[in-house]
Amino acid sequence: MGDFIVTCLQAATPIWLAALAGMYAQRSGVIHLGLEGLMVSGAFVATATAIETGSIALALAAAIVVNLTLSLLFWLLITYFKANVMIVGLGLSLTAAGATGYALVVVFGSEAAVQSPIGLPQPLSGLTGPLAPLGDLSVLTFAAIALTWIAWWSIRRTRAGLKLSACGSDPFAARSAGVPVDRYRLAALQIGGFLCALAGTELSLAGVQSFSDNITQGRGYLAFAAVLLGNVAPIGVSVAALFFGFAAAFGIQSQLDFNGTLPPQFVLMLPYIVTIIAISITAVIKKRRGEQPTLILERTL
Amino acid sequence: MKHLSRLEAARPVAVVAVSLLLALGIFGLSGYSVGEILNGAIEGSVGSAAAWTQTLRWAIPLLIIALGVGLTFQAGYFNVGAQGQMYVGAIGSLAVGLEWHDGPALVVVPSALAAGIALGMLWSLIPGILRTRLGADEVVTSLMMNFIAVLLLEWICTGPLKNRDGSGQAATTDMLSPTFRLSGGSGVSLTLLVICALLVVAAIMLHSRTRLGLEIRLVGRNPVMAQWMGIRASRVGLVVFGLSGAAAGLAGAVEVFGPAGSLRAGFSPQVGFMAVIVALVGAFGPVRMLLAALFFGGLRAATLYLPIVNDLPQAGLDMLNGMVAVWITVSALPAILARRSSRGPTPARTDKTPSESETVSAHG
Amino acid sequence: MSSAQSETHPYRSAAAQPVSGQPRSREGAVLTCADVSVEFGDFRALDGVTATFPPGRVHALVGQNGAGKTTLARVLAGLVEPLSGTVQVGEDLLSGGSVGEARRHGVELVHQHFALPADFTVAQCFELFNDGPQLLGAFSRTRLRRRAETLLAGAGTDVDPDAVIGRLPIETVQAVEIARALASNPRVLILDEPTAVLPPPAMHRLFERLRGLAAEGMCVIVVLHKMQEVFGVADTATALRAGRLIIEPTPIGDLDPASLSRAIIGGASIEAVPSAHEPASSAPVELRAAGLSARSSAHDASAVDVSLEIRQGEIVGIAGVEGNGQRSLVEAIVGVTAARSGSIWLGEADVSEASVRERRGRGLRVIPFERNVEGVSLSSSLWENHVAMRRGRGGWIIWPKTLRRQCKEALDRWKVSYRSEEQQAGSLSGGNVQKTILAREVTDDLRVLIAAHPTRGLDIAAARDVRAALVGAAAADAAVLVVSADLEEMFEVCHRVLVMLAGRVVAAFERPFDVERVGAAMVGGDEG
Repeated sequence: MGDFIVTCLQAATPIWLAALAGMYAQRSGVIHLGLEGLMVSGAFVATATAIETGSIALALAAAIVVNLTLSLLFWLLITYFKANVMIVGLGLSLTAAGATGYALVVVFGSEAAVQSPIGLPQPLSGLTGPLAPLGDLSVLTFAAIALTWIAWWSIRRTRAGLKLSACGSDPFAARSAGVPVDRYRLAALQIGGFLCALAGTELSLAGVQSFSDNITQGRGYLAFAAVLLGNVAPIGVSVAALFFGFAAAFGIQSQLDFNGTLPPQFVLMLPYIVTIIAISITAVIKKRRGEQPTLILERTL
Repeated sequence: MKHLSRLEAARPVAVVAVSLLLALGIFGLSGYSVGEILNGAIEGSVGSAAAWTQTLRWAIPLLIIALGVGLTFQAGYFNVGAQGQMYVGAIGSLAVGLEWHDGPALVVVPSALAAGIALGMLWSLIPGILRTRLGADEVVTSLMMNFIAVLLLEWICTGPLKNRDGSGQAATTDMLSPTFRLSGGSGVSLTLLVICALLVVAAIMLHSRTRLGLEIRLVGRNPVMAQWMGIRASRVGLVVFGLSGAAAGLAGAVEVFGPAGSLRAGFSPQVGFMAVIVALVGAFGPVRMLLAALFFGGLRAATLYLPIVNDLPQAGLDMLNGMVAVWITVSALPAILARRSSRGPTPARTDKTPSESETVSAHG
Repeated sequence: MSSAQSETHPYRSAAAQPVSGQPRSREGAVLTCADVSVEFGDFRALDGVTATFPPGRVHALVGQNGAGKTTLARVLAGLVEPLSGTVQVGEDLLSGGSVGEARRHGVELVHQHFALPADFTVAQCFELFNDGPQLLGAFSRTRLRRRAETLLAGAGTDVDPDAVIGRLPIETVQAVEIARALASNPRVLILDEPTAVLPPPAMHRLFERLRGLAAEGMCVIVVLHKMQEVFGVADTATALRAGRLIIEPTPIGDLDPASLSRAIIGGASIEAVPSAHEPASSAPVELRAAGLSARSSAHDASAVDVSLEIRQGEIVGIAGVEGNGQRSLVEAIVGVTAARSGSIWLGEADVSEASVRERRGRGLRVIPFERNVEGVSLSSSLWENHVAMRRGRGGWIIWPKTLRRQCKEALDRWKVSYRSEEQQAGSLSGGNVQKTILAREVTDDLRVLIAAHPTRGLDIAAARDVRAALVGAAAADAAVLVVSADLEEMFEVCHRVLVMLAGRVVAAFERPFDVERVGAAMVGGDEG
């Protein structure tokens, strides 16, 4: 049981951090489909730096710097070049996937994967007894818990958070309040870049300590789904991400449990099916209440 | 006005050219010989009859999917589920082809293609219905449907339709009877080219000669106005979702009955996303999409060829595709310049001019 | 407008002393703009406007729709960056185009369509506009609530701080918006058409407030429409026409309503529209609603149990303060909103369950509320807009060449000025857009025409053409329903006027109309 909970948390952490990133972006009015790309770039840069320098701190720092730069580029394109937010996001994800795959070959001469000599610290690794499984959790899982609280506090309990939310829900009102909307969006995207760097690092340097091609496997898009599923609220988004973690862990578990009787693919489908159902249900509830659906309003290209 | 529209038309070409240069720069910086790469790319895409065949082989699915995806984009729906729709289309047609392996080809092949089309359509209508009836966001649902389809295909290839020839190769299905194949392993044949030509003509007719084409554009640009005009925006939405799913399903079926002859888990990855890029580069015009599909087909052929001559990794192509997507929607004039130049209105790219978006937000 | 001359000034006497009990930390300031010009694309919204607004007065800013009043208000508040020119508050020159800077200098703007996020609570809105010095501005819920309560009480507004903006009645939202503007203790308060959403009693209260604030020394600038209101509340009047300053801030005593309205309109004399003939009493009923109830998804009250009949050749007006169910009623008749109960008849046919397309097939035509949203697709070509309407079945194949020619003929007939039928609708002016809508909607098979705010935002000449089109439609035996906020326009063209209040038709009037009684009915004071 304890093992299972730890597996859930481990599977959830990258999605969780990326979902918080998407939450900030969407609150500011930017639909962030580039989460996948930022995760994979974070994962690659962290791994590469860890291999080259042997330092976890430098690995994290490098991943953060690269992601902040990519987020800045994203912001420039949608702000000054009026590019379509969703296409740029998807493009960013595709580019990052391709570029890291390419760099994997060019730098490390490997088509598949590269091992890192070090991993993220595990602060509770000294525990014994029934709490021992917690020792496998990386420091970033605990960071995710803290960051969720920070996200909640910054969105719900600070004026800066209110201003950020106004940028998303009514940009005109935000401008009337003197909020520099574009700069708030930049800030949100930078926070997102930072969080995705953590998410990527967790992905590559926590359990497996390696970077492989297509390491994210769509987790960035799951994170995006978690943002909508959690109604763009810090706590809701975290719960949705934890649910995805649970579903993934359940998939792994069930492969062991009913090997042969139930094809594992069907278990692995579960989170996606539940997401579709949950998004539909929230849409219906909103419609009943007469609220605007959480739709992406940027319609025409 | 004339001047600006020419600029608009030149934009996709410029974007692709800039991305190509960037990619070549990166290849060059990482130690490959740019000259060799260019040579190899041209050899692999247009340098010989075989190269042209490869180019067409990849242009065909890209074109078919892009024609459909372009419709949903035009109607203002962001359907990114083409990959999954293609997979289920492939599964459906293969299942018919294998089940009915001793039937006459003239009956089996059309029914199999129809099955692929129908399944692709159904797969696409799920997000379509959820979006138009319930208001559930189609980006998320269609992405999720992709993941489900990937897993479904994996299950099909390792479970029910797994090859029984005992070769032990994992995750592939049995081969179709050779009499059913629409083309050889090259993936190009007269039949397939005729199918593509018919689709392009149909798309042109839909665009310029039918009420539906007109309504798709109106719904995409201003759904509220469309409703006041008596156009049922949600029904138009369902139609475009259905059509784009049908196209992607057909592309899957063509893949199976054309070059592949069987199914492999995770075949033709990224084709769905590439088709989105083809549609965008072609700006939803059928002929322009045809040209874009040829270009990206050639690019794919080249990158499959390049590793053979100078081991350039295939991921380089994905990077290039992504870069094109990143730039493709930037406006011809950066906003900062547009604001400074007071003369000459920039073409309104959406219905949300400042005054309008304000009024929209003013009543909810 | 003529009635304003005989008006006394009801608000002037009421409250000339300070209203809020709190001491004011900031003195009012003189607001000056010099040579301000603004361009939106090809359109010159303001052209070299120079004016000085001294503190301690209520300044009325008047002009026709499209004259540039709102743009000027937004330039003063820093929301619109002028192409050239400067804005100065007291001694301080603003760099322009920065709301933050304008607000720091004590300039607050209350918008016509309020600028409060619909999903925020009242208390959160106050905090959003709080300009306190903290970096992140952390707060607790109690503090947030307490601050909102204090500010609301100070402004004399009774509303729950935890209420969500989107669920409040529009009048309350305005009160919240004013309270939040006063929260920062402004030196200059600008209100953009605050009276559009208010019934007269609330308007009186608002005007008393404004006079009180001016008496405290604040510089109050109000964008107004009606002469009566200008002469009721203002100390000075400033007039704009087509982006130019026509009358610089002038004491109201030196002006009279007739000359002011002439200045606003410009030399052009408005030729009255020949009024429609009375329909024959035997004329058949073309549009009938019986016990109709519906609720629009937009910001409007439900229409409740509305019954009306319009005969062929008859023009019926719906008067009422905006937001009293007019939109719900029109949407239900057109079919874009489903009726909750009741029935709708077009001629002999019950269309209560029919689709928009079917109703349009029976000759129902609409000039919708928001022409740029519901009337045209701005980024589509003129010919696509022209043929957008779906009436009846069939017509799967289209011949673009023929359609373009039809469009060209219709646009020429309606004297739309355009370059090509391939041009985007968004490149036309408001008046021309409205005429393209008329060109599409007023066709030979027109039987019922519904016109919602048909002349809003149009210049005099275009407005006249539109009114003539309404009268012309009636002359061609159509039934016409006009929804308007402009009583004078309504009295000019309508045979009958119904008044809607809180979703119900509360009164009906016949010619000759009495402004006083219709006005009273709009706020529930008269039973007609």
